[in-house]
Amino acid sequence: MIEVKGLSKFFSESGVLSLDNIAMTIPDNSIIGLIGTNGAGKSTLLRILAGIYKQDSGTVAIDGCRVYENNKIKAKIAYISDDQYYQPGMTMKKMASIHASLRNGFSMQRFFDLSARYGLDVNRRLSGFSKGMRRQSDIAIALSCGAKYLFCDETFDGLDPITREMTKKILIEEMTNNGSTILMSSHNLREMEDLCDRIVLIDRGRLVLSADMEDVRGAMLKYQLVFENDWSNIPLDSLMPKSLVESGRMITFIAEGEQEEIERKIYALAKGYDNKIAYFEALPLSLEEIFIHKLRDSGLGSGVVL
Amino acid sequence: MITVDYKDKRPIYEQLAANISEMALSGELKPDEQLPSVRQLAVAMSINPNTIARAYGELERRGVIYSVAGKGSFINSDLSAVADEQTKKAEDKLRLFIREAKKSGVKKERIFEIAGEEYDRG
Repeated sequence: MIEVKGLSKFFSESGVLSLDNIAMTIPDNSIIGLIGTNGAGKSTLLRILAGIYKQDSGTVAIDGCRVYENNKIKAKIAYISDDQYYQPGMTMKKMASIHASLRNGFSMQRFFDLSARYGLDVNRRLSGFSKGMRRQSDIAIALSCGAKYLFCDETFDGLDPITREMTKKILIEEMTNNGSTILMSSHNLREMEDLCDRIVLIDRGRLVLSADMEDVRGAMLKYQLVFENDWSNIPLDSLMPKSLVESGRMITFIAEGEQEEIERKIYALAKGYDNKIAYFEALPLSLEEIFIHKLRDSGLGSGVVL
Repeated sequence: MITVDYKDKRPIYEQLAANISEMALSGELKPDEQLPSVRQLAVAMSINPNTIARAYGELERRGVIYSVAGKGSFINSDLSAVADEQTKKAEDKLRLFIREAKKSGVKKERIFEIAGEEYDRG
């Protein structure tokens, strides 16, 4: 389990408060999507969790222990940076053997298996690999470390569709067979939506949301309704509707709260104003829509029209 | 075969549950037939095992499957309640379509005509 409390990180050279009082708990054996706009603090958070950066205040505990300068815990973590370093002329196999020399749990067998599945020649130089192939090599090496926690920083985002499917399969196998916990940042929200149990949304260093995917989906829905008669006298404001649009007789808006509760209120309003609901539908929002609405609430992306 | 459609707006667990439910009602999955384990299905379909577990939980709640500790999940032999629920849902949908058709100006006789045609087709 990963427990983060009151986590803050300030970069004095740029004067940026990258993380501001983040608190969250990540249960074991789950896939978590870390999402947020560019510069929100995703990479900084992953680097602190991996024990690369030291926070200015707050605590990070993985399996109950501090991470920074703690080799016992760091042995349980594999981290794929979005910006890997390669020594010139190094082959993929040489790279793996360096990791193997540093990590007791490293399995060369697993490394060869994964490389074969990706169709990568381990004797080729990394400098001759494409960006996507280097990503695949990073994943193969990270998953051979025998780590319980895998942190991926936009690892998916540069892969082609077939390789993504393959990687998804490999990650699911890893989680199912080894009980791993995978925390990945990405901008591909559609993919995150299908793959992740939980979503962590950060914005300008602050935590906006850390919740179960299904709870996130259930907490905000799109409503479509048609009143039988003129509805201009009905105060829909009490539902705190967002992005209310009227097209023809159909009214569409987004509201937060339990569906049954909102539905009950709408019918009560109609009844109270001697009107009737001719049509009613509640639709789930995509993660992308939730992302934009949540960030609009916190003051970003106010110019975006959905 | 159990399938999911990534273009479908419903959550994956909901699609899985609906899919398995339909297969049970159509007889494609037989009463007391064992379902693949959560882990097997997760790996075979590249779907998060927690999502599969959620779908199975939902199916159990709806009475489509039952689980035996240490053995796995099986299709219920009595699915009459599930079938009733399904029929009711289909009727609601039909009502909605008829109302929409009426609003768009389709005449009553024409609705009867189409209903007859479509019913006899399959």
